Amino acid sequence: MTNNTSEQFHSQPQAGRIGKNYVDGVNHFFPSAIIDEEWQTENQVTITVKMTSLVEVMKWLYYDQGGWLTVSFGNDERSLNGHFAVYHVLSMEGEVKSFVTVKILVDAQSQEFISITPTIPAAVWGEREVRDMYGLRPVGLPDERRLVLPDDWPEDLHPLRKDAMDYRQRPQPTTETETYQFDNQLGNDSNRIVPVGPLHITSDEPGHFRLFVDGEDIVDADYRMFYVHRGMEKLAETRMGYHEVAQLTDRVCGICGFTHSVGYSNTIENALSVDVPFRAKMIRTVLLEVERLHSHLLNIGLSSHFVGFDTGFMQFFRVREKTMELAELLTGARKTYGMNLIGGVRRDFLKEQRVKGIAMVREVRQKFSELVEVLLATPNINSRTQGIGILSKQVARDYSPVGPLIRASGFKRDVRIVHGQSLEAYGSVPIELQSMEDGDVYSRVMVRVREVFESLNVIEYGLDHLPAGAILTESFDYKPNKFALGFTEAPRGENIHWSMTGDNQKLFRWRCRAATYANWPTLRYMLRGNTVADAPLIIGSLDPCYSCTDRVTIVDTKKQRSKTVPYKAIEQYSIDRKHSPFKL
Amino acid sequence: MKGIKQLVGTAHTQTVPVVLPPNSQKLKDALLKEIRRSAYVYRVDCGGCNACEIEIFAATTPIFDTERFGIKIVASPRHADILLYTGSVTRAMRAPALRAYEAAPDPKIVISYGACGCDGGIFHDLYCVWGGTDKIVPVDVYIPGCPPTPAATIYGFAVALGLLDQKLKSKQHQPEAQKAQLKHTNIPLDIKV
Amino acid sequence: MFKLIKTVFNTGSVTTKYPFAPMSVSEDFRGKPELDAAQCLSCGACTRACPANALIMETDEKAGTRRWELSTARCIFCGRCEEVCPTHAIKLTQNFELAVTNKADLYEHAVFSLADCSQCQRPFVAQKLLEYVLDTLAQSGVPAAQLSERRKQLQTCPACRRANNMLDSDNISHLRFIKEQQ
Repeated sequence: MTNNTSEQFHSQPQAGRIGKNYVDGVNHFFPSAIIDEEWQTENQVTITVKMTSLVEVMKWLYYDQGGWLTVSFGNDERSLNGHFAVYHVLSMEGEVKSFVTVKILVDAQSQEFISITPTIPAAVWGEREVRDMYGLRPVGLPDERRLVLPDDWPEDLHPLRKDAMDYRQRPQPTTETETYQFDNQLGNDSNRIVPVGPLHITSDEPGHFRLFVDGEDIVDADYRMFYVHRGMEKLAETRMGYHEVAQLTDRVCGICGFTHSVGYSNTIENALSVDVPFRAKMIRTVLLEVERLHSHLLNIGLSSHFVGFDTGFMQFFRVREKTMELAELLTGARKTYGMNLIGGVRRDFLKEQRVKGIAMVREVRQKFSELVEVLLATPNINSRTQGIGILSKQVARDYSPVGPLIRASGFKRDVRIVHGQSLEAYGSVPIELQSMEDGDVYSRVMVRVREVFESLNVIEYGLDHLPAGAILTESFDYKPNKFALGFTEAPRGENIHWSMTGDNQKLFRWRCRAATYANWPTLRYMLRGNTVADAPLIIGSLDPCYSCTDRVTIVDTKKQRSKTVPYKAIEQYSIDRKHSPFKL
Repeated sequence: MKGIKQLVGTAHTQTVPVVLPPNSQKLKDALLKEIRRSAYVYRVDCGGCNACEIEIFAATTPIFDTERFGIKIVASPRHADILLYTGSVTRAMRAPALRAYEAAPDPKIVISYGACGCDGGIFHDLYCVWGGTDKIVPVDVYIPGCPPTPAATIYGFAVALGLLDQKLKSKQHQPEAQKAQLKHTNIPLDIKV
Repeated sequence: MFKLIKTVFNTGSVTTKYPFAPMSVSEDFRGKPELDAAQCLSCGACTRACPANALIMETDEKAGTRRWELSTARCIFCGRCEEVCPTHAIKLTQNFELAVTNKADLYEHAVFSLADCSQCQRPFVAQKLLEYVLDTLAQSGVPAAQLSERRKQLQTCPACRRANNMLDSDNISHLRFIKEQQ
């Protein structure tokens, strides 16, 4: 026992209760804060705490015990216990690796809850989303803008409430124009921003950026996402059964869809303690790595494109096609593999597929190594990517980003290794965490390059050592109102899902947090202090969903003028370094 | 409000697609003759998951190479002959998608790409989705798939440009012409069921 | 630089010949679903399993028909329909050349005539499905006399069956149990 809050807390270990020391620590330092403690699996616990103790418990777990905020979300539990609820999921990565979920109950009359964002900035998007979807007010949240719902959505309609609306209801748009407020945190009062909004002649890709510039240097940046919000979480509670949601999750993202599918299937399998056959786990592991291959090759190709190395871009895409063929060989489709059911997978890997697959892996490895050598020998790469877009360690610690972004800043966060024992077959395959120290664009590209080699090794190992046995188990029962987490490491970082089963052959609640969601808030800090020409490169190194960043408005804070510039023009400037589009 | 029809007051509405002027088909046929060897395509992403975007992108890379047919992806709808719509038209993207349509000069060809574009796909009835490209603009060619493979994309462009004929035709099946065959007849019924 | 030129040179041309030559896809490629109409019973399993509602069934009580429809437009090519079909009536082929200029060409239909309930005379199940169930029972050895009893029983709509069970005091299970005890 210790009285120093920032030392790792130790207590008597208990079998099948990994992470008990954190719960004991909360009881030790904050007596009577915990109202309820419930274990979902051997390394997942949910503690319900009093709202008055929330901030201090979260601060202790996050900063003092090596926790990272994975996702914050709400749930309408009025039919279960008369309250709404807000959950904050922490991935504990100190000495003991586990997941601790801190839950608070929100009174159904007052509908207010305490915001943890002033203490833990990473919660900002989660709490804004709770406000949009449930109408609960986060008290103390500095940023009260709408996050997820479009500007033309009526004010008092909160979709995820159980009694608010049918999932098919489409209310009349309330406005024809966009009303989102962009904020300039580092500018000063004498600057006036001319609101040349996202309402421009065309918006090709969903997502709008505003860079606040001083000549060529970026002072600050703000952006608007969620143009792609479709309403899937409500769909999963209404029209679909458990297996159909596995198909839906494949289409959450077209680049890392299979990871979402595995994450979702894991939530139900964890909640109901389903014993998934080992062969199915290995198949899932192989396919997760196949998806990583195509995504990293895509990003490395794009990075080459942004530094002006277009030949490299085409060559990387040529090699990438082989990985798509591999996916088609193993699953029947190049993308949207559709392989998961609750309890296992739908299709097996037959001998012919395994043999051909291993041959393809070896071909990709050889071709990729050649291209990487060429890439690193290109002078553009070093000069354009080293020292650019640095993600400082403090910002990283505050915002809990995930994936190659954070691994390139020296933190060893990778769900496949940190929580590998409870994630599919990762505990049994040869895999090493790749990280670098500098935190710039070059480091991120290198982390991805190394991860490609790791993935190729895992795929070859998995196909070669596929364990015998069944691929699906159906010997389990669905019990109502059971919940658990499911987590996977997508190419962009950690995807996390949480679901609660319902009592009507459907889900009661499903929450899906993609990796990029956690990474976006750090982007403005990475852009500050860099030049505009490097903006596409930095945004690309974040590896956002390919088409999320098309429209950019340049606001010159000194000259107090602004101009909307097509993204292609900035890209062109990034590549050619001539004809700046920013002559305002 | 323009382009919106009320079904149940302001609580539930649906979109009204843009209406084509009467002689547009003739103009489109004339256009197709002109652009057969050189078509400029502009992508409009109306809120898809991005799988379609990546497959369109893959179609432009060396293995499939749309540029050998003169198909080029352009950066502005003002330069476009063909508009390629992906995604199931989310609420946030309805107005921008219409603006892209209006910005492209007439006559133009509209292609609806992927299951989401063709009829809303798996999201066809959600609250934040209007349900497919033809709910907002008139569509000339549909390319189904989830996502359509690059080969299917090339085939789709060939159909749009009039180089190949469509192969699919609607079918009316005759299920009662024959009795259904029993399966696994050598396994006892109690074990089968 | 030289390495790059060498790599490019050695690779040569990789562009596929499609559409001037046929494109080969993997054996398990998930293309367009095709219906073997003879095997279809209108049981509706595919309609329930389809995540995108590309498969629809509509009943027309007045005309006594049930219509099955497949929309290739909305299909997401997942293959769940193939997995759940009890008679292997619907299968995914390798066909990916699905682009059309006329949207109506993306739809397929099949119409089933419905049998009437022997009690209330309202149509409720496809004749073909009823015959299939009786054929299955016959093939598993149920004697002819029992079969005609089963036919009457099977050709009763769910509402009438519920009503029968509630009013049939001789056969209600809890009463049966009490009688046995005595």
